[in-house]
Amino acid sequence: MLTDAMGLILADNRRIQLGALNQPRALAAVPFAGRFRIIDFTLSNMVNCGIKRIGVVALTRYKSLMDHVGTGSWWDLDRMRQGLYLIPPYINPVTRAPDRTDAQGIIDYVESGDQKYVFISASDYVSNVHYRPLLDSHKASGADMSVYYARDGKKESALSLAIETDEDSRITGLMVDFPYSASELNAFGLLVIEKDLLIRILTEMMARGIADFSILGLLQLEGPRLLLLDGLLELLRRVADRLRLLGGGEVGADLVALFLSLRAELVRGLSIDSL
Amino acid sequence: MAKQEIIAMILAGGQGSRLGVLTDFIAKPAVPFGSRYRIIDFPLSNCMNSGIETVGVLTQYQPLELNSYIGNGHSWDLDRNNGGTYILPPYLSQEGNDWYKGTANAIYQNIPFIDGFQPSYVLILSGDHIYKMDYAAMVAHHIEKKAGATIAVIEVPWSEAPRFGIMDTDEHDRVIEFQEKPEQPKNNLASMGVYCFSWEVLREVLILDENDPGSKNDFGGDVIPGMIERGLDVFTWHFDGYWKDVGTVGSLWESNMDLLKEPSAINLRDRSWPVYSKNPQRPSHYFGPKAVVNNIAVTDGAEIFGEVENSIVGYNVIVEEGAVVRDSLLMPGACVKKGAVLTRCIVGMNTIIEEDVRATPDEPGDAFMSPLCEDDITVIAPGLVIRKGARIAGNSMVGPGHAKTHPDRVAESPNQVRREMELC
Repeated sequence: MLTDAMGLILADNRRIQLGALNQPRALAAVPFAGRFRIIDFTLSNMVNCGIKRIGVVALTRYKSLMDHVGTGSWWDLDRMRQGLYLIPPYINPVTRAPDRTDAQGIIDYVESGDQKYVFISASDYVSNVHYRPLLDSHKASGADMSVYYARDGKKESALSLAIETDEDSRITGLMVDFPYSASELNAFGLLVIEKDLLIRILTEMMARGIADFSILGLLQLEGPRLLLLDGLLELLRRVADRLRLLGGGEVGADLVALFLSLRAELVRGLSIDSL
Repeated sequence: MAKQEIIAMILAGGQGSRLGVLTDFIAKPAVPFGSRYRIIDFPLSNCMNSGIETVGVLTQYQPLELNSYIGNGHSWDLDRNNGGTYILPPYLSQEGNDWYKGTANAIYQNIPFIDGFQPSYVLILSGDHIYKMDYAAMVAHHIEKKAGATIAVIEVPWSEAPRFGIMDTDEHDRVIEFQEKPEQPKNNLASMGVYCFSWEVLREVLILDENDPGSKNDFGGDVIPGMIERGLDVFTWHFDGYWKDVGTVGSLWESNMDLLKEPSAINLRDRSWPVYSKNPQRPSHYFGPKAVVNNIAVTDGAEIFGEVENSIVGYNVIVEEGAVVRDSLLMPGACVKKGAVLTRCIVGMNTIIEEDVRATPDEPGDAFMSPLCEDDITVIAPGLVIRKGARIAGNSMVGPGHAKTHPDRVAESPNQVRREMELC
């Protein structure tokens, strides 16, 4: 039972366009295999592992999503303590960050939990991952962050976030949708990080006014704008230096999630897509 | 049923005969405690707070009130899709099951229930103790020690050790001898009646115990000593918080008073470990313009117009103007009318104390006195009417039987249902 971890589900991904399917709804609420929605898989994985506190971040198009998850009772998340937390965007009276850039809701959610670890999952893959081994290896490795991957990075149809690693499983580089990538390791959108570190990263991103937390947003920061990121880079470089990558085995990742971005030499940065 | 790593079984079927008339019509775990709780709130809340969400409640003696109190477990967040609360009364079967013969037999009869969850560990809990315990920490200790059984123990003063089941241990916490209420205790570690078993081990031991005609099928008396004798891995786990067995009138009164005297001991205000309970939706409690209250715990729907001091006041209690209540427990729905004086009394649910009654230790003793009562504590059963002007001495136990023998002083409440709770 994962009593020392909470979940954070990023319910949308603006990079993925499924036309009429996700035009009116967040990706997580897209129907799947007749009786499911995509988010059902991640919610169930988390609950089956014993995670009882799960935040769902929805920035836009969240009506369908909220209608679907309801009180969370289907996943036994209708609880007096803990349970399901919907985190829609809101304007923070203190920071007054521009629309969609305010991560305060997420910070508040993460901060108010008792658990030490946060599993962050994108909503654009379907799997039945068990999180226990991931957390165990994460703790054993001493990494700041551990990332699950699938070995389908070279599959042509897949959107991919190919990760390059050194012999210690440390992430050294990352390429988005690059068909000639040498790496078949495909980060599909699941990572674990300590609560305190996540809060620090999110706070720093907000403080630096990074309007778009998505991976593309980060990658597009070029030239002089990179200077703005110095402090952040410093922090993130330390994260990256100790980043470990863990094997994910057989995971069906038809749609690939992108939320972690470390660009080898230029930007060693972390990004949470769809924030 | 989905697999559950740990499940808890709460033994809630005992009569609690030492509480006398308080448990005439309800099981001991359903006895009100501390203004807005029942005794069973403590193990149930401990389970929830420990992350154990599959809880079997074994009932046998007078289960109606307990059943309706627990309901679907919602008040403890135990209304789960997988797991939650299960009321487990004895049942008939082809093999001719019978009443639960003892605590071990009660679990034995529920082997199929437990098997259904394929648990690795089973906690056996009592429904009559007041304590806050992290069962998960105990199970972790159990796993670390690779134990077959782990027994929660608490250090008691050596002078009191003869009152308890004492565990003698070696330096690795392994139990080498169990002494039931020993005159010459070898240790001062008292068993709290909280056990953690590996289900494989317990299952086997229960079947052995059932097939032993000499066994009384009791955990403390037969199963645990048998396991120690056979050299199985029985370990202790040390608990050092507040713990009280409220099986007697004296200890029930004392434990309630502890909430007023030393609230930090059990600390019901600790938000990281809430004790849940079920109370009716009633208006806020109200103190009238002439009310005098000092050091009391009070809850929804109570109305106080008189004087109440050092007392626990349940929901819907009424204390009229001119009445004086000291060092007492007024259980939910009790009514104390004008001019009545109560000292060191436990008044059962929905009992009416009429005008000018005096129930105080300085009244002369009579036939109402009971060996179950001590320290001048008087118990008045639920659902009674104590007639106007009646005198009741300390150490009395007034029950429905007295309505026939002493109709001048005691009557049964006209509405028998009033004996039970009125939960909305």
